[in-house]
Amino acid sequence: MKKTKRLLLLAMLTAVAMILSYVESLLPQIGIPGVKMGLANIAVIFALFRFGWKEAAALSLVRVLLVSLLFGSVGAMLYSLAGAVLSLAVMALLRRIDRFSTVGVSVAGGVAHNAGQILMAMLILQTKQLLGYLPVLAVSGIAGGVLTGLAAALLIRRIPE
Amino acid sequence: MKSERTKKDRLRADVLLIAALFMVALGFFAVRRLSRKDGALAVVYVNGERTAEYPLSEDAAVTLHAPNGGYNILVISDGCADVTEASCPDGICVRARPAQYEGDTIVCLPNKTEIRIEGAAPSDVDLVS
Repeated sequence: MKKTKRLLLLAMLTAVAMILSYVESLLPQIGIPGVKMGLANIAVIFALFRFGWKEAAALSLVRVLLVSLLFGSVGAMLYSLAGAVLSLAVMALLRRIDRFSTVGVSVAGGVAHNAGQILMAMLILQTKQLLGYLPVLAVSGIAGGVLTGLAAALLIRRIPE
Repeated sequence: MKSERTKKDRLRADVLLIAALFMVALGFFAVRRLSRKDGALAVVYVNGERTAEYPLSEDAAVTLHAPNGGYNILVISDGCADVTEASCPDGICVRARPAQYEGDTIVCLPNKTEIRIEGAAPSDVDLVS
């Protein structure tokens, strides 16, 4: 693929990821902080499968930065960043192993995202109590991961290379 | 997309991964559930300082006075500690679930009061701190 076209696609994907983050912030919260669908991960997975881990990482980090600045707070950015980095590492690894579909990769990424956030919170608040919270978030991460993984698979099939 | 692996292989791998993650989460949850111990003392901390303790084995109702003039009413019955009434505006401590197991806490931030359930043995932490 031509360099320009790739750059253009990536920029568009980043915009899509930001919109998805925004849409998600409009959805009603179900009471437990941290339980989210992770809609923006659709764009990240797409980039990971269509381009590669470097492009996916760039997209994800730019998204976290911009979304935190635009709609969130800098305090919350640390949590998002921890989640995004861990999630990316796990997803890139699984993509490399090349055994799973987008669903498997997305599920692992979702759970890793939750784990990263909890670890960061434990670090900041200096408390181990939060670990008990992980199973709840992990189950939510699995559910969200299945949905976003399916959506990403659909996109990859429908959008020609 | 080119792939040497069939769709079926990937589906199986996905399902296995999801099942494994689910089991780990469940196991984690179960271990915490099973390893929790009934507490022995309801210890009151005001401003981070240990001010009083009440055995969970004896039913009691006490009014805890906070330095800001507020109060929390702590009721102990059937081995559970519960805050039934408080002066704080948010009432989070009143709505909190009764505390029974070691490590459970009921916190009232406006009154800077914390009720923490502790075990019977005097903890070494206090000797150090």
